[in-house]
Amino acid sequence: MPKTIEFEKIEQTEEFQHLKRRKYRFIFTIPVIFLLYYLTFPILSAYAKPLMSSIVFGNITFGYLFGISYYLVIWTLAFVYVFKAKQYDREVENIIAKYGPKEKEKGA
Amino acid sequence: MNFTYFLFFVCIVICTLIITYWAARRSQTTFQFYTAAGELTGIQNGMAIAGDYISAASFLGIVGAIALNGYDGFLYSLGFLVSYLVVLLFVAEPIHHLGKYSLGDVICARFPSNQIRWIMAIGSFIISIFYMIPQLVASGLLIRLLLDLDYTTSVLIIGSLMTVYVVFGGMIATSWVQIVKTILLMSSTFLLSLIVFSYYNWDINDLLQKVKAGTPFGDQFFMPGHLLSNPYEMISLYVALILGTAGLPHILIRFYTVKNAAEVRKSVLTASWIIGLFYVMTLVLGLGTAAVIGYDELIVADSTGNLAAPLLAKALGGDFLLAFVSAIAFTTVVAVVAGLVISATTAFSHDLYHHIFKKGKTTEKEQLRAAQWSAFGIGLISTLFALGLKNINVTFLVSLTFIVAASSNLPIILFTIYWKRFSQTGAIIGMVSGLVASLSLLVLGPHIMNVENGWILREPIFSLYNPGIIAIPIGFLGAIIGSLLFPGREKVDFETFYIKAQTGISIRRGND
Repeated sequence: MPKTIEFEKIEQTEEFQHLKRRKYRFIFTIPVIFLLYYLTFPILSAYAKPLMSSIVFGNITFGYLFGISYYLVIWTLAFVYVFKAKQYDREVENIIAKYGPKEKEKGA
Repeated sequence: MNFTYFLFFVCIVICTLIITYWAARRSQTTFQFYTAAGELTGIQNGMAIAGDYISAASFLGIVGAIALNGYDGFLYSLGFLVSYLVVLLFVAEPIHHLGKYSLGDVICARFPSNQIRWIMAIGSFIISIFYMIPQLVASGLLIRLLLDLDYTTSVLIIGSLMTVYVVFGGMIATSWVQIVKTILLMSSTFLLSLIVFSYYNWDINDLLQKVKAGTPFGDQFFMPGHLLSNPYEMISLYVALILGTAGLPHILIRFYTVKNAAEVRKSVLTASWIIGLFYVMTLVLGLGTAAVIGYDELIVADSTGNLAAPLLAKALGGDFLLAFVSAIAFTTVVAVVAGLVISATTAFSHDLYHHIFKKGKTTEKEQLRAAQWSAFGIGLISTLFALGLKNINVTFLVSLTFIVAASSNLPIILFTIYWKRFSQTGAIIGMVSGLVASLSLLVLGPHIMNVENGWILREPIFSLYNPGIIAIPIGFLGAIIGSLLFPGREKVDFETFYIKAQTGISIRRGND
C-alpha cells in the first residue's frame, strides 16, 4: 500500500518542480486571457450595440460572428491543453516510476 | 394520448428498464454502485456528462429563448460551453485523483474532519435537490402538455422511473440512460435542423429573411438587449454560468467513472463537443421556429416559449415528428433527474451515513443497502415536493444552484487544490458565506420580492435577478479571509496533498 511514498522527497526533485512550473504557467495564463476575451462579449453587447449589430455580410452581424468565434477559441484551447497534458502525464509517469510505491499496480 | 405517442413513450420506458435490469447485476459493490467501477471510457463518460448537463429546460427553453429574443438567447447558450474549459483546466483531473465517491472525499483528502464532510455533504445535497425539484415540476407541466397526461401522473411516472434507475442500477444504469438520451437528443436535433434548412431550400438568407418577417423585432432581432437589458444582470449571469459548472456535484462525481487522467480529459473534451454542437443546433431550431411558426403564434401557445421545438416539429413533420420530439424531451428529463438523485444519494449515504454516523465502520453490504435506501428516500421525497409545488414558479431555483455552486463549492475546491495557505476554518467560512450570500440575496431579490407576482409582495431590496456578481466574490473572499485569520497547522501536508492531486500517485481504486 502507498504508505511507502516519500512525498517530501518527491516535492524536492527537479522533475516535480519542472512539472509544476510548466503546468502552472499554462493553466493560469490561458484562462485569464480567455476570461477577458469572454467578458468583452456581454460588455460589448451591453455598451457597444452599434458595433455588435453592424452587418458584416448578408444578414450576419458582427455579434453573431463574435459569438461563433468562441466555439473556435474554446475548442482550440481544449485541444492544446489535452496535447500538453499528455506531456505532463509522461513526466508524472517518470516521477511515479522513479519515486512511487514499488508495488504499484497497472492502471491505477 | 394517441397511439404514436404511446408507442414512443413505451419504447423509451422499456429500453431504459432493460438497461437498469442489466446494470442491476453489475451493481453489487459500492464501487460499482457509486462510480460504475471506473469502467466507462472517456467517450462514454463524455456522452453521459452531456446527458447529465443538457436539461429539458435547455433543450426546450433555449430554443424558445432564441425564437423569442434572438441574440440574447444565443448568448445564454454560449456560457454553458465556456464553463467546460474551467472544468477541464482546473478541477477535472485533481478531482479524479483525490476522491473516491463524493466531493467530500476530495476536500477531506486535505482536511480530514467531520465538519468538512458535513458542509460538503450538505452543499452537494442542497445543490442536487434544488436542481432536481424545478426539473421535476417543469417536466410535470411539460409532459402534461406534450402527452396529455395530468400533472400528478406525469410527476409520478418520472419520479418513479428515476428512483428505479438509481436504486437498482446505480451509476451504471444512470450513465447508460444518459448516454442513450444524448444519442437520441443529438440525432433528433440534427434531423430537425436539416429539415429546417431543407424547408428553405438550403438558402440561409431566405431563412433569415423569414425570421425577420416572423418576429416583431424585425432587423433588431439580430441585435442584443431583448432579454437582458441590464448589463450587470448579463455579466452576473455569465459569471455564474461559467464558474457554476465547475462546482456542480452531479457533474464532478462523473470523473470517478473513468480509469485515468487521459480518460478524464477525453470525457470533458467529448462533453464540450457534444454540448457545443447541440447549442449550435438549438440556434438553428430557434431561428427556424421564428421563421416557420412566428412570434405571435408561439407566444399564444406558451408565453415562456418552451413549446418552440415541439411546435416546430409539428409544423415540419406532423404528429409523428412531434411525438418523437416529445419522447426525446421525456428521456432528457429522466436522464437529468436520475443523475441528480445519484449525486444526492452519494452525499447522503457515503458522506453522512458511512463516514459520519457510522464513523467509517460499515461493511460493504451495509453501505450498499444504505445507498439504495437513500436513493429511494430521496426519490420519494423530491417527488412529493414536486407534487406539492405544482402551482408555484420554482424555475429560478435552477439558476440559484449555479450561483450556490460557484460561490460556495468552487472556492473550496479551487483553494483546496491550489492554495498552500488555505485552512480548514477558511473552507468552512468560505462555504457558509457563499451559501448565505446567495440565498439571502435571492430572498431579497426580485424573484421572491416582487410587486406583481412575488412570494413577498413588495419592492425588492436587491435589484438583480442574478446575484452571482455579488455572491461569488463573497464566497471567495470568505474563504481567503477565513484562511488568513485562522491559518491551519497542517502546512507541510500540502506538499503531500499537492503531489497526490497532480499525479494521482496514491489512488488505489476499489480496494480500500
